[in-house]
Amino acid sequence: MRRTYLGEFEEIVLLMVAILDGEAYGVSVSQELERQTGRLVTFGAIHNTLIRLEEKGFVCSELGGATTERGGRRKRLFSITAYGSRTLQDIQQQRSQLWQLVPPTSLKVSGS
Amino acid sequence: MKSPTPPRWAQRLLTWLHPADTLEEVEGDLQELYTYWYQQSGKRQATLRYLLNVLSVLPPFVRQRKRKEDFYQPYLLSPDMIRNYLKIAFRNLWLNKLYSLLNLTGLSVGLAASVLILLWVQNELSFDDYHHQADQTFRVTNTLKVSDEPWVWSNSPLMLGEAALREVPGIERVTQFKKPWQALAFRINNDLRSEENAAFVDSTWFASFDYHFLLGDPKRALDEPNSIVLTESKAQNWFGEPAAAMGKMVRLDSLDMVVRAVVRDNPPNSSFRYDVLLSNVQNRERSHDENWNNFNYQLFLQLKAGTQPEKIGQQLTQLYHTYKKDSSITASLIPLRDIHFNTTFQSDSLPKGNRRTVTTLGLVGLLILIIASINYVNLATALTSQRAKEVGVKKIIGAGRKRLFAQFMTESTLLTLLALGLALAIIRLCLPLFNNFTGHQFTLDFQNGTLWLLLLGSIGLTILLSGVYPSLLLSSLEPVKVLKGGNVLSSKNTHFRQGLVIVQFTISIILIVSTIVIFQQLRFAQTQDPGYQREHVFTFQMPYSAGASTPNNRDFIKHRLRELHGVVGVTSANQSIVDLQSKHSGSLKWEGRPEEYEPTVAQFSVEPETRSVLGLNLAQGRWFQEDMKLDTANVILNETAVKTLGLKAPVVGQWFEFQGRRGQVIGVVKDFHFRSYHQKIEPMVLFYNPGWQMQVFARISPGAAARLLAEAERIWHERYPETPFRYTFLDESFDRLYQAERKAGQLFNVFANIAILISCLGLFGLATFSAERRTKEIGVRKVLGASVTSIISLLSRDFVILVLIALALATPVAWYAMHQWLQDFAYRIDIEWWVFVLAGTLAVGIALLTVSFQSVKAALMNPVKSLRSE
Repeated sequence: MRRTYLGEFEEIVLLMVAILDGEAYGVSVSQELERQTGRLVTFGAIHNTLIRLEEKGFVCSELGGATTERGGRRKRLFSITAYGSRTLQDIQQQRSQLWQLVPPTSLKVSGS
Repeated sequence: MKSPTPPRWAQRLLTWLHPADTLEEVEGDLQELYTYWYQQSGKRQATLRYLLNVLSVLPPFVRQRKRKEDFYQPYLLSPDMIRNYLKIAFRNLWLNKLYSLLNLTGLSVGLAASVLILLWVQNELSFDDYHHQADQTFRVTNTLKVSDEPWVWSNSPLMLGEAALREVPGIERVTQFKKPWQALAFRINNDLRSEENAAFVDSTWFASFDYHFLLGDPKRALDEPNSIVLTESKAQNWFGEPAAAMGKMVRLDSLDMVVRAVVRDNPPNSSFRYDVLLSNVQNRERSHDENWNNFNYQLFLQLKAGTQPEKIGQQLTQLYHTYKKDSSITASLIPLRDIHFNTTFQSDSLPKGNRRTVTTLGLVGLLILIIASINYVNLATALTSQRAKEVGVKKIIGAGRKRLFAQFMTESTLLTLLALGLALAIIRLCLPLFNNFTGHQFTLDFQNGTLWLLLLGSIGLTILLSGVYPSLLLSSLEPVKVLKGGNVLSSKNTHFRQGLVIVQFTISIILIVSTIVIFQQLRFAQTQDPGYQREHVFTFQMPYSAGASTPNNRDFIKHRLRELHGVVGVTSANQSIVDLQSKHSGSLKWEGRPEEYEPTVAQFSVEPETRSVLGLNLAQGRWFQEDMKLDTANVILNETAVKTLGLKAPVVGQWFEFQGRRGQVIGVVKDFHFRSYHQKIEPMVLFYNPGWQMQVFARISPGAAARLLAEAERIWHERYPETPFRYTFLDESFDRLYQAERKAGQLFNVFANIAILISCLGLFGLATFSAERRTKEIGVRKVLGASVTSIISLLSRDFVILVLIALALATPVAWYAMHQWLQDFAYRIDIEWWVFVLAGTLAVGIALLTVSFQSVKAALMNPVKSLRSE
């Protein structure tokens, strides 16, 4: 099957959406990313990535959840699609298959 | 707690620049983040990070969310869409037959007129452009400083060309031509043909200038001394067909010549309008020309690349010093391309253009196109309310603005293309007339790139002018408003349309005023007494080439003419009185002349009979008399001369020296116009020198012209069997002085008519539209007792006001333009107020007539009909 290419950052953001499980939107994704990986990225990078993920069909979105701290503006909530979760699982599976093939000695850091 | 707010200007920046469909969520997210940062690391940090992050979601960094397409939307210019545009366009054109017809007529007439005129303008502007060496080709100009005004000659001595080629470095090639003084008479198979458009040229001529050889060898066409080259049409005229001309004999005087080549006719933008080119070697006057004092040749130099024309000019001036021993002549070079518009030369035989006429006509052509486009704009926008529903429904179904724009542009393009088809037909029909008028041979030759450029240019301009505004307007209508009903057009739109009508009528009125003023000035020139009598006088010139026997022949012919029944008088002079070019300077002396004062005067050689034949009036003294032997040394002055030269009273009887002969001033002749009214009357000296009189005048009684001319020709051939008899009537050559003005007048007349016609077509359309829209109103008014006249005036008033505003705008512009035009005349009319009143009345009258056609119809309609239709 020809899989749509998923970039490293895209994969991380997609994972964040999965982690947040229905509570993912721009702010929460960026805060979660910072908390889990320590990466500080601009909001624009996350915004663009989310749009791209949606275009590729990994996530879907809807507007909702206006709060006062946002000045009454709605947020766009993202959730992972079936296709998205399958892709993540595929990646995970492929990785572990590959891990199986790595001879244990080759990953040993010399000297330890 | 009030949450902290980020900088307002950054928020505004975001609102402006961030894509609209993700704005809400991004604004909210950033606000939330700002609060988060604020609480975490304080205001300063938060603001900084906020700014950075705002920047990250502005274009070009931000990604546009793709709109979810709920339906299939074809590409804007896909074949299906284009087919749809065309179908709708045709249906609409067909639906509004009247408006389409009005538009079509206006556009096609406008296009035809402007394409024709631009054809001419383009031709004028591209004179001599087509020679591939035009950039390096220059003509020698000679400037002779005598007295106060310099004489500028286009002719050079034959010797100069030879000397230049020999001694001046940087000259690639020299070529020259000489136009014979009079028409040449050729004998072809015993037929005598007089040929005006003949010239003697150097053998380098065809290497210097581009000719398209149909027959014969371009490189060697004029190598042999007795060669002659004809243009296609001349060959056709002389020999039946071009191919038959090759190698045929042609006899000029006693020389036999052979046709060596046939070239394609001169293009209309060529300065060299010669149909017969003869090898210069056999020019009989050549020996006479081998002399530094005879300026008979136009000398063209082709310079090597990088040579400075100024330098060459100085070196040529030096040649005059060395060989002619004359330091009063300066030579300079004028680029070949500039010759056509340069009018500083005294009697340049090449045809001249007037840059101002060219610009004016180009502008007028453009204006006509604008007027025609305005019609379309006006009618299309007026019909907006009819099309509004269509636009609304289409938008709701999902048509974007671009698609609607494309659709309306298709409509205007389609109409313009249809108009182009019609315009081409009109042009084809009018082309012979136009060629006759301009004296050029234009053809609708579709292989010609310039024609295509012109057509495409005017079409493009028309589509742009007519299509863009209505398309923008129509495609901008908002579906909700439209479908709710009500007035979709703001009053701004109506004002815009009215503004355009004003523009149309302003242009039309300016053209009308110009036409009236031009014809008035022409009438003035026609009716003003020039100071001599030009009716019933024909004149002809004795052949120069005939040599010593000429005075004898002249007297013979004069004598024989006098004997004819119906001839009132016969006389001779040096030149025709209608346009006397002969000038003299240097030899004038009289009592009280200031030193160094060397005026230039016109010189007119007359004889005793001249006064009665030409009807000149004396102010003082007497005319030359037959029995006064001394009169050949005496002179008569005109009134201007007495004033300019400052002769003290009594003038008659004073001594006067002219051309080395001292005599008396025997009389003063009343001023008469011996040139056109463009020029002021100059000082003139009339003298009596029978050797200087090659122009014969004969006054005849009215009605005898045909018989007497036949007799005169017979007498002429007794002495000159080889030369055709060529005469002109004075009143005809008088009229010819104003030929350019008359043509301009006719042209403006045509244009004014076209402009008015097109404007009225538009007005008619608008009136129809407004009458249709107000059908109900009129019905109600009639039911309530309005009279037919009041309704007509109601419907017409709006339009008449527009025309009046146009009149107010046009008056100063037209006045200024015509004032400028009249400055060209030394003797001119004043522009009177009634011209504007007349133009205004005409415009208002025509507009009223146009509108009333509709308003009367509307006013006479039975109100029952209009009110019933719901």
